[in-house]
Amino acid sequence: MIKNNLFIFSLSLLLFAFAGCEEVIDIDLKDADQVLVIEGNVSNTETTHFVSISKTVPFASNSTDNPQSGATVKILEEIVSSSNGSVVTKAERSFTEVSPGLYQINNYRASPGRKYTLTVELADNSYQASSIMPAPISIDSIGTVTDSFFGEDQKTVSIVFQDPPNEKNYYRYLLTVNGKAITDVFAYNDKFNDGKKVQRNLYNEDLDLFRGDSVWVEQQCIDQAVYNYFNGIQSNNPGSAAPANPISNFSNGALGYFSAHGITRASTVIE
Amino acid sequence: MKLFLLPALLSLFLFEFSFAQQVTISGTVRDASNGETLIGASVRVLEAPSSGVSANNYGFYSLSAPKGSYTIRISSIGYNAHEQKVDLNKDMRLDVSLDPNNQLDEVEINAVSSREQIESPQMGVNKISMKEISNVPVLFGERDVLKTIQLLPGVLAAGEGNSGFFVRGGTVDQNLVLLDEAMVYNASHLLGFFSTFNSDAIKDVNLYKGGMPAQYGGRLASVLDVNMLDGNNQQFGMDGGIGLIASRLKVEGPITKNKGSFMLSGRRTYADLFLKLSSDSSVNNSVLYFYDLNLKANYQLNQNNTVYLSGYFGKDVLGYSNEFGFDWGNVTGTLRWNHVFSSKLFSNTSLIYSDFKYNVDISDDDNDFQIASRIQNVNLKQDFHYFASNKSNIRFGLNLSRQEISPAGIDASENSDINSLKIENRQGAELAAYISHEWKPVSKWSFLYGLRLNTYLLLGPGEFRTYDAEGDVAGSTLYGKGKIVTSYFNLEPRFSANYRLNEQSSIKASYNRNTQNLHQLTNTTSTLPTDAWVLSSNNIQPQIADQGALGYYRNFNDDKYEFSVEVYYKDMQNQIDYKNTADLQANENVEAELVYGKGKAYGLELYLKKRVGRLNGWISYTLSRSKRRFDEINNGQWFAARQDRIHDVAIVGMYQLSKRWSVSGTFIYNTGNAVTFPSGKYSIGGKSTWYYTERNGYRMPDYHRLDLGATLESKPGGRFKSSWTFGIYNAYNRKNAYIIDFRENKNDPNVTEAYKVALFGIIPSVTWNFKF
Repeated sequence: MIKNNLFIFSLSLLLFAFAGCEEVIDIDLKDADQVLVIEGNVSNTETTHFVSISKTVPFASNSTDNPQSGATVKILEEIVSSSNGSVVTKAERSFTEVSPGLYQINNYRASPGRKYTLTVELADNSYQASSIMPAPISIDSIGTVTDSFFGEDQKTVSIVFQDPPNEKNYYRYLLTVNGKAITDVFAYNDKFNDGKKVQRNLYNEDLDLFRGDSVWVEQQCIDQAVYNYFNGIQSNNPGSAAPANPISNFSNGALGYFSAHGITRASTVIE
Repeated sequence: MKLFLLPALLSLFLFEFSFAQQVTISGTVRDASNGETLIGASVRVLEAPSSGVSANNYGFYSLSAPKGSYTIRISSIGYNAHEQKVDLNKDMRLDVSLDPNNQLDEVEINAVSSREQIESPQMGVNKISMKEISNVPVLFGERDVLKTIQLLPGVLAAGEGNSGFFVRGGTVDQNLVLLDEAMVYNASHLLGFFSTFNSDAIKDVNLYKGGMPAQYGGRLASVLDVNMLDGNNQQFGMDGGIGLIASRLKVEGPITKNKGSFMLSGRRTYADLFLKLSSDSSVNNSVLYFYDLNLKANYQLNQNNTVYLSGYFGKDVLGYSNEFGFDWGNVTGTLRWNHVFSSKLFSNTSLIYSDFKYNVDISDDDNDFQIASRIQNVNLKQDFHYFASNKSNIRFGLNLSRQEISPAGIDASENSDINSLKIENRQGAELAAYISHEWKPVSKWSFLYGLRLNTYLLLGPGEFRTYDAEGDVAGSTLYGKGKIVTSYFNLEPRFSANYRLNEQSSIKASYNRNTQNLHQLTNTTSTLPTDAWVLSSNNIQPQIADQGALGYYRNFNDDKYEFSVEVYYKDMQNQIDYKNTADLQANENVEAELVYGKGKAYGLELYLKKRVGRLNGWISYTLSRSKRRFDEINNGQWFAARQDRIHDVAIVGMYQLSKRWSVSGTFIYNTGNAVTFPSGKYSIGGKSTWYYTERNGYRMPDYHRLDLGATLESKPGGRFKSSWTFGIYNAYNRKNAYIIDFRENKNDPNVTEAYKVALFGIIPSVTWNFKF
């Protein structure tokens, strides 16, 4: 991130100095064969969880909607004893399709430290991903910071939390402003601030915050594979030499991810 | 090593023996007006027309003939030839100074003699004169060596306005860039828009794209050998210019007339002065500039001993408010001693230091830390040049160098949000020995062949790890200081042959092997000063390239035009790429993020140059491919490297309108870079996400651009001379794509669109130059 920020900062300084220009263009992109995309989440705070199943669409398509119905979706929970390593396997539960491509499970709560395995069967193919749920980490405070960048003030939502020392922690944030979900990816690790009191600024260049806006932040403590997935998405910036698909934790070539994560939330109103 | 030197010494004695009846005339050729040595000056005996030799990089020549009376003719393009009768009874010394001639028809200074490319067995080499560099119009009017060489066949710009370059399908880090023999790690300023070479300080530029002579080693793709001016040893002078972006000043003069001189040249940009005009405090507290300082001094102790000291200091400084500071720069230093052992044996001993470092400072409310990285090299070189006879000369030498890399770590203050992170330094040592023989056994054939031996050692102290297929640490060993962790030995044969078809045409063939033990990791499309360097190690093998080339060369119209066509094929081993989403920053296990594969590059290069006359210039065309193959990428299929541009055309014209006005123009066209675009999309968390199927499966749009320039010289007469240079970069305002990216439409996120960023539209420039 530091390097990308440096690049973007330096480039914007240069663009400021020499004035680059931007325009929308037409490019003829190939239409690749459609590939299955699975997005599944389970957490400690909810009792209803969703898995959505779709396929890729051509770039020129006016919607990313391409739901896949008729899949069998199951989840398996395993408890590994920390003392002797013995594994207790709980009964497998199934999801039911509630609207095309959207699969739901009710009365299900995930717990930190346990391993969850999601299996999707569709058209004689089987796709599987596992995730061990990290413990949630509490948020100490939420607020905003104001940066002045070339004379323009920009407000950024900021949270403070204590990163647990001597362990690897991975975070993903969901940001909601006035009830509208901000879809940008915010994924971080603690490589540079293990064990520190961390102030995390959820910077988004295009997001203008005003006094009175209500802001929700969901902090997800995710496992390493899920971090790698989201970091893969956010690494594909215009400066990267070779953008690539983020590495999915699903088997059998499916895109997407399955995450079991510990959630804490905080909210504030912009002053 | 002793074993290796034996055949060299043996051959010396043999040559000594077979030409024992001959006597030798030797000396140094200089410019009479300023005492600069004339590289490549031609020395002939008129009574024996085929006896010609040329002066080496220090202006030293050695010519042998049977005893007798002769007329010696010494010439160099742009100078009045000197003829002198000599009675050659025993070995004699003849130092000559040539007067520059200022006729319009022969405007090239320091150019190679007109038939060099026909006569020399060297192939894949391009020389550019400083006159050409100063006439070619460039961005913001800053004359630039690196941007001018990009107009040669086989050489591509790394990007819009970028001084980085690709040679014959290689990457930027596969170029060896030398300034007075010192390696320059990062040859660009301001993220690549300007080169570190201040043209005022430069005497001579040679680019080897293939057929590298054995005295050069360490990089796969090319050697760019830049020599600085020695300084005027006749009189004091000043040179300078005021331009849109930067101002320059050069001072030179004798230390002792005819004996020694110095040159000091500086350049600084002042774009940040405009930032001061802003009313916003964070903006007017910002800085953005670079400077260069070149200095050189030489002193002739006596006829046989000359010492040279040269140095370069450059720095870029970027800063925003008081919160962010970023600076980087190169330092090089070269101490040389030229010694003439005898009229036939010339020696140069060099002690060379190169250094590149960068530093990032961040201090705001919660973060207070620095990131610093450095790479250093100390190099001791001993080169001998033995002029066995007019038909045979031998270069041999030794090269001992020590490399140290301090990777970027983090140094944070106690109360910072961030932890300090120290990554171990890495040290390497290289010992190279070479021998190279240039030989013209009969009038139609000439050969240049040699061998370079390279021993590379990765040295402790440190913890060295191995990795499994997943990139996890598989093992780790601690090594003490100076202990050998791993070593590689490489033999690099070099061979080229020239067959003269007739006076004005020849064909040449060459083969060479090059190896590389220093690698730069970059995962962005532009060259950044923060791109990490790594040494060959227990995980990283030396890169190896084998290149074969074939060429046809022809001069016509009384040598006014020269034409060449070269084809080449290059096979590359142990090429480096990265795993998807590799973490290359402050990562002590960075070697676990790398993948290794193969490369191949091949092409055809056409070059037509008009050397002299009111209208001169050149046309170059390159048809080439460059491909890579990695098991982990594209299912192990060959794919186009980013620099795989199929067609590349450059047309450069300069026209002398009148005694005072000259105009110039450059047109370039090339196929776009290979690039990775999506071939589908899907939604993750409500955000459109791109689906990629293939590395570099698409092309950027074709690139083309026209630049124009004009120069007005002051009226002749008087010591003070000045000139105005006007330039227009991108004259027809082509919006060439710098970046193409994809995004959701702001109004309807379901709709996705491609957009391009164009960097430079039409940019006029003006520079005022003076000299006295």
